[in-house]
Amino acid sequence: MARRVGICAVAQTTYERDKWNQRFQGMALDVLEALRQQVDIKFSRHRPEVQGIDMTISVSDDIFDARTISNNAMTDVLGAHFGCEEKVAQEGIQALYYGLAAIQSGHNDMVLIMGHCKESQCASRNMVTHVAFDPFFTRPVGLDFCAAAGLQAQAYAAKSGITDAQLAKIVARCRKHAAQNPYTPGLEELTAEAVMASDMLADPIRALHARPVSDGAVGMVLAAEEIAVKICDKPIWITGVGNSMDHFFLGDRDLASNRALKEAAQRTYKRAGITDPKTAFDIIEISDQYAYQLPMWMEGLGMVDEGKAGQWIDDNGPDKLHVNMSGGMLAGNPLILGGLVRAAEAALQLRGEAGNNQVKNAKTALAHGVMGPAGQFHSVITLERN
Amino acid sequence: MKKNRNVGIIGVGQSVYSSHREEVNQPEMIHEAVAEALAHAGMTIDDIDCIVHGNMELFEMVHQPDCWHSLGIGSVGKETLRVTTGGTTGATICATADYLVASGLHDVVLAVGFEKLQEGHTTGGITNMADPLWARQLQTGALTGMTAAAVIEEFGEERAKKASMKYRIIMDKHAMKNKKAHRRLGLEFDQADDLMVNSPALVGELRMIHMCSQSDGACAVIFASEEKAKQFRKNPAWIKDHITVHREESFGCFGDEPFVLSHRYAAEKLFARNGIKNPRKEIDMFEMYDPSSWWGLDWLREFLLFDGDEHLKMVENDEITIDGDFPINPSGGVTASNPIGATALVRVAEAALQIMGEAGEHQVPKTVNQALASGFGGTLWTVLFLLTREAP
Amino acid sequence: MNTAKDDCFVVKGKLALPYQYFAGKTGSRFIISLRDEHKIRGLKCEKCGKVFVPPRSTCDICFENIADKWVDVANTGTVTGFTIIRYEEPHQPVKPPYVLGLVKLDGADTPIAHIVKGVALSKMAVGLKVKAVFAKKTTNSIMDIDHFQVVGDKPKFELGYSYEELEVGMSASFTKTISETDVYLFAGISGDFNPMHLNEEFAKLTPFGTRIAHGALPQSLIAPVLGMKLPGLGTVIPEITVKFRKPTYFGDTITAVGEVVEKIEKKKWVRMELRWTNQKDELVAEGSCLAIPPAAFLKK
Repeated sequence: MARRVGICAVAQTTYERDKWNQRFQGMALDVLEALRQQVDIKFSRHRPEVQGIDMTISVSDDIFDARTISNNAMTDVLGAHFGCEEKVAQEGIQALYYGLAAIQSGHNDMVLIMGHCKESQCASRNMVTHVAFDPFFTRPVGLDFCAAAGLQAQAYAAKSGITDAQLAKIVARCRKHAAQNPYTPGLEELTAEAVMASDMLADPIRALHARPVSDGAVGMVLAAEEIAVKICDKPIWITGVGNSMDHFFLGDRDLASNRALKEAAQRTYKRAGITDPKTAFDIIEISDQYAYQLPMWMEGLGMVDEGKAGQWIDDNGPDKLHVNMSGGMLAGNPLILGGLVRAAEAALQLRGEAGNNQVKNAKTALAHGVMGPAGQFHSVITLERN
Repeated sequence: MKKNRNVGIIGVGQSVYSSHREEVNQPEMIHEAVAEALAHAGMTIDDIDCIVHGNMELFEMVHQPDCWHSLGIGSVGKETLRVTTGGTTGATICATADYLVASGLHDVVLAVGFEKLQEGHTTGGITNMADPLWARQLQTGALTGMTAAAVIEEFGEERAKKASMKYRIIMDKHAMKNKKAHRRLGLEFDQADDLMVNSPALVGELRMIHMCSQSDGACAVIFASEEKAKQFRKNPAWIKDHITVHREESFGCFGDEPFVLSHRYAAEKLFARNGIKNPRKEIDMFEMYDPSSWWGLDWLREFLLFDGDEHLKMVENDEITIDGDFPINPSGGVTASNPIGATALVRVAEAALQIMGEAGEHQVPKTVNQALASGFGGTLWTVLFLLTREAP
Repeated sequence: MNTAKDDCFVVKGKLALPYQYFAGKTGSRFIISLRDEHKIRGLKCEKCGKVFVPPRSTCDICFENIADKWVDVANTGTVTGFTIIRYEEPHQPVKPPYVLGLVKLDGADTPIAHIVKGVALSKMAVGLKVKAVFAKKTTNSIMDIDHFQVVGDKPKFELGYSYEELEVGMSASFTKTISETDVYLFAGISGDFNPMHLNEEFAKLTPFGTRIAHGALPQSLIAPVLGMKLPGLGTVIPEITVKFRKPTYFGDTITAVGEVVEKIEKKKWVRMELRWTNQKDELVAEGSCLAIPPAAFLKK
């Protein structure tokens, strides 16, 4: 059994519509400074005599950043002077998966994770995700992640019977929690009626069912157990990880089946030794880019019985299971950071630092990230505190 | 370093490298490499636990390309990770695969690097690397004539130009032995004087003939835990150690501090922690990421920690040829084939093949016990791999 | 706007790099069939038996090479999923709102995403049948299928009874009063200006003592029965025989009746008995015919 890995520091910027007064390096620097308030950060630079960050994992997206090898721009901020810096270009939660492996391999003891994205930098995030499609058969018909989500939402609604009113309730609840979350300022509370009155975007997805465009950065420090216990009071242990990839072409999949998420969840539970996911977690943070995804992913995670999510919403299930107490991704996180922010918010809960959204005595948590058209790729991570 | 468990390379696959591969699309080209790696390791895709993918999005303008590429990689239903670090990407995904196996998370990991440079605009893509505010107007792709000027300054024009051209011709002679290499020009040593004058000049004495190619291609390498590796192959190439050394974007930010190349820093640290005192003697061959023959020549000094002209002598005395004492790039190296996201992976893959003794026509005629492979990218970044024939 | 923006520059930029994507042999063959033959082709994996559209050279379920396992699929299919795109982006092929559907072509196992037209947005539903409409000009891409057009559940014409549906004993009729105008028009149509039909003074000299209609005029009243009622639209009559029993006078109301008397299994034809009667129930004419009912397949 490889050694345990703990999250020793967590920091993030606010997530706002357009941080026009900051470059992405500036956002990352703010996060790094905040992390330094929590733990002493030195960069080891392969000097065995220095205990410090052995490896930095940045998370960014070349196309959102409009820069080839966008981590070039991050090396100055992330202390890469003779240090190791590597970029996870997938969903940000995968930086934790990678950091865990990097430490458990024995090759590194401390890892700094830093993700950034400015969705506001591009004319439209749909234009970015449009080029995720192959140039021959799916790009020409105008697909992007929003259109793909529309197809999935229709398939899921047909299968589960989830209603417009239930989806509206999810958004209203998200806004209620987001209003209490200092990292998601500027989001108004909304009534379910207002949500149901908003325009359709890609039926059955309404404009208010989609997460707002946002800019932000999030960072963490991971350390091997023997160091983690020395440098911080409340390390949050990574207990399980898992991910999976589904077919690329939307028609090759059963869009309502949650195939990749089920596989990701089962792998995670197996590694974490969890047999009953319904009762295993005090906190659940999932990446709901659109309202329909909250109930759908909950079914995929095995937390809600298949086809029962509508009733579960009616019965205030999300409150009972403490799902997305932060507001969730629906409150606005950039595309590639959603899962990493979920893990950060889960860690804050386990540290008892979640402010007005704090759940008492939270000890265990699950965080989830999703990437690709209509959830082609899912990644799950489980956390616990001592 | 106390590595959790040993990791070996047990399968290598490469597509043919070419200026353009219009008969295959991206996933199909990657599939060629994956299928060959699986066959080389004697396994099927079902034996793979996790797939690591790397390239640079802006070279082909495909967002999250691993999603589309799942059609050719075989990643459906598997764990995946996508890591990119510019030119070093190929070597970085080797480090990633190493971590994933060494940690115990996975037993068998497939690393896939690729680029289809003909589909995009490489120089434009590289120019986009630069800061839009401070540097983009000044960026000229990957052309750096400064090294040529520095070598000429230090060793005199005639000796420097001869050595770099000889290096170039040796690389081409190696490429002629590698059927998969992209540029196989059939150069002879007696053409050196002519090329030094007549090859189109790019920047100063950096000429077209010195520069790396711009290739389409994919490479796939299979990494396995010691137990699994021994199950599938009697001669795995073992990962002894590796190191990643990056530098900041603003080179000048440390003022007058003497400029140390990341290659030298990486080599010093890696050799020190592995007890290598004389790399020139203790290492049997080197697959170097040499984007131009000027850099290949100059960097040899940095990697082997020389201070004088030993590196020039190595070239002048034919020590770096395939049958020399210290063969460099028997595959032909980067001046022959350069599908950027795969290039550094090819270095590790070729070094592994040399250790296995399975490099075919470009196998060095001696036992390779310890090999070095380097990756280069970004703003002078280095990833350096040490591979061995005996399990560490 | 916040005045602080004055001291924070926003630098405008554009990622405007040229790209060319190689479709590869397999993808190109698909597009060439589409362009040159208006034929949609799929690739079949012999291991899992699935027929894939869009094409790919590897079955990503079985990891088998399927690059040359081409099979034809139909230009028709069924909608298996859809969304209505209401937001506007430069990369969209048509102006929103439009339907983006997943269309499973008949003969394929994997639906493809494409534009669906020909249905009110509020009536869009899973299960609708669609047919590929090919683009007038080729773009050498999947857009050589311009869109998929919804085809109605009901055929445009209500075809008559098929052979299978016809039973011995089924009958139908048509009734019409024969006027002076009808006779004069019929004379014009047939060129038969015989004075026994048109000249009352001449007709007084005939055995009937007054003008009578042309014999073929009441006889023709069986045509609407056979062609539009029984068997109905789509019927072909290869043979008809008639015996005239009584004259038809101006003002007579004639009823033509056809009745199925025999199903000829070998030919899938029916034999019908025909009768014409007047308002006094007198038999005006009688006969029989062979009828080829509309083929069953036309009704699908």
